[in-house]
Amino acid sequence: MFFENIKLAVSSLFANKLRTFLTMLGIIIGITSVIAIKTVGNAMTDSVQEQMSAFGVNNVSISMYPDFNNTEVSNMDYDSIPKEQFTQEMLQDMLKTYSSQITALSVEQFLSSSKVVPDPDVPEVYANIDIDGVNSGYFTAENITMIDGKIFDKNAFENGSFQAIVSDFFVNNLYGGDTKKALGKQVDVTVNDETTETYTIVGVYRYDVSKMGIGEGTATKDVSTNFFVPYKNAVDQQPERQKLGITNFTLVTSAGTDTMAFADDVKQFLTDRLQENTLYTVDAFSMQSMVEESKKTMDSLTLAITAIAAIALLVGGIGVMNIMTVSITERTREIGTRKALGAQNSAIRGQFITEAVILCLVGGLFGMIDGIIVGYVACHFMGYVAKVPLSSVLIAFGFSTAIGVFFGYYPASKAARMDPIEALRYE
Amino acid sequence: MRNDNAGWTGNSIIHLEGITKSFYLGTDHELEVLHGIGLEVNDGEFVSIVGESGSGKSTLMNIIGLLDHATSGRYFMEGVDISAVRESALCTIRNRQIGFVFQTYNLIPRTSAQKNVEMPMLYAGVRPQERAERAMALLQMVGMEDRAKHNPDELSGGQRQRVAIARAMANDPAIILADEPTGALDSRTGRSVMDLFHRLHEEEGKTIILITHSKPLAEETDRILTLIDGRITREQQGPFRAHGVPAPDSETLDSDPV
Repeated sequence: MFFENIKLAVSSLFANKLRTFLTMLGIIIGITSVIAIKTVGNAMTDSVQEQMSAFGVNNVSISMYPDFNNTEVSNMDYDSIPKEQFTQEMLQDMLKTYSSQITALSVEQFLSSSKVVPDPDVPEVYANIDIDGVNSGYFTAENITMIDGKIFDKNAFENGSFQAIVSDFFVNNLYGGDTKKALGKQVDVTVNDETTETYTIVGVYRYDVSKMGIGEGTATKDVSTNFFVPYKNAVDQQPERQKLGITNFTLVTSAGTDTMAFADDVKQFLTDRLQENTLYTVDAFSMQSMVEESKKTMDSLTLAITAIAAIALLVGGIGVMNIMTVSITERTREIGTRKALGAQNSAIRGQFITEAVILCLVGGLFGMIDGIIVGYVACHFMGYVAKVPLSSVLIAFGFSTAIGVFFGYYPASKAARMDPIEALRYE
Repeated sequence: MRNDNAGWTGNSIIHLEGITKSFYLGTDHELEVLHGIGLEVNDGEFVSIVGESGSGKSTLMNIIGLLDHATSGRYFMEGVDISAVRESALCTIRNRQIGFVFQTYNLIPRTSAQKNVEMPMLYAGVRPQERAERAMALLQMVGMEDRAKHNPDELSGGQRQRVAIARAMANDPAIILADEPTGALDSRTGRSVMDLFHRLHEEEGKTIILITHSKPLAEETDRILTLIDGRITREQQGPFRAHGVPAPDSETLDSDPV
């Protein structure tokens, strides 16, 4: 009976190809939009999360800055605000208190941007760099992958030696990609367009293209990569920074730590230490909370667009209901004949609901294919990697079946309740 | 057979008693089209009902065929009191016990002759292979086996009616109800369709109730009931064909007393 109904439905849908197609169009558009939105939405969420986790989901960034909500501060000239810093004592205290949660502390001091040209006679061989002073915790916090050589040793960190760790891009540009050739090389670097310092290359790290920012697909030869030097080296070259001390740093938390709660704890801890200076405020911020936040934004955006797609599906469903009503009126005599020959009401109802469901399912199938194509094309142009969510298949078939049953039920019941005599007499 | 009616002890397959049918035409208007019909049809009998249009013969047919309910009166089919049967069970009785043949054939469009014949078996839950085999056998019986795959719109009127008769026979029903089966056919094809009914009657032992307004065709049957204004006004035996005697012309029949 079930297969018979399917055969009947298919042949009746084929009998009126144009009408069937036009009715399906509503469902196709609805399902297409749902799946396309889902595909793009997932790609966006994935991409954002990937970028964020590249920065380290276990990281908590801590900074201090003048509290501009404080009227005393907001009335002051910025330069006249007394400087404040996280003292070594405060940091040691913090590391001791939270030793089980903190695996590394990362500090970073930017020095200068520069362009390295080893041989002035060959100006086309060059590399753009950002000189960045870092401590050993930085490599953990930022998940830096070393390709060759090694991280600065303890002495280099403590003395602020003129050593450098360069990117694979840098090696590609200057040494044809040969890291062995790069190691031990001395490079002259102009700092702040003033002094020229000579650094020895001790290591090569892999430059993470995904950290470049949303939408930038490829890195060119001109991309400026980090030229890591010991933290002390960068600070030593900027006497004014020495006075400022550390005002921001990043903590790497151990696996399993609730970073959002930890961030609040540390913020409170450091705020307590700063109590005598009410002009400053401490902010602790976990990547996790940002991921959560962006997820929430994405979710509500997806929800809003899905609501619009749902309206498209509703309109499509009403179209199905309309066409089923027309079809049933046209086939009144057939229904009368079937009832005279002994078809139960349930059999007639089943026949027409099957027809509506098949109409919607075929529409759902086309909609799914279209939706995947549209989703892929949209992702391509927006620079995301499209991943078709498996749920889209379930959505396509689930929704279309539900629409078929829901909007087919009324017309099918109308057919089932027809009076056979009236139906047989119908012209 | 069930017999829960003390007043009825016959062995007739159809037993009507005081059947009336009224239609409501608005608040105070009621039109009674059948006025107390009593009718007895025996198993294996070939009965014809003749009457002008508007005489109520179609209404009577619908009641006999379980498509309509009588307003009052009693109806027993094979001893079963029809008024006590639920709607879904009526469907089953229609499906198994009654074969309908309509004036306008009422084949399902865009559906092959074979599938049309299979349809009542489909609703009876017969397995596909068995359905197909029986449908082909029935089409062979009516001489339509080589048109089994044709759709109704590819068949002539006579051929369609043959398919419809094969369909009526699908579940091997006890009763065939034929409502003006030759009404839309020319006399020659009408003749061959009539011959088919005689074969079903004689060879298959089917009880056949034929509604017609053609007196010559009615006179070929065992018994002729004349319906005028909702009453059976005349009942005649017409055993002419059964005895191999050619049917007399209609004047002879008309002059017979009731």
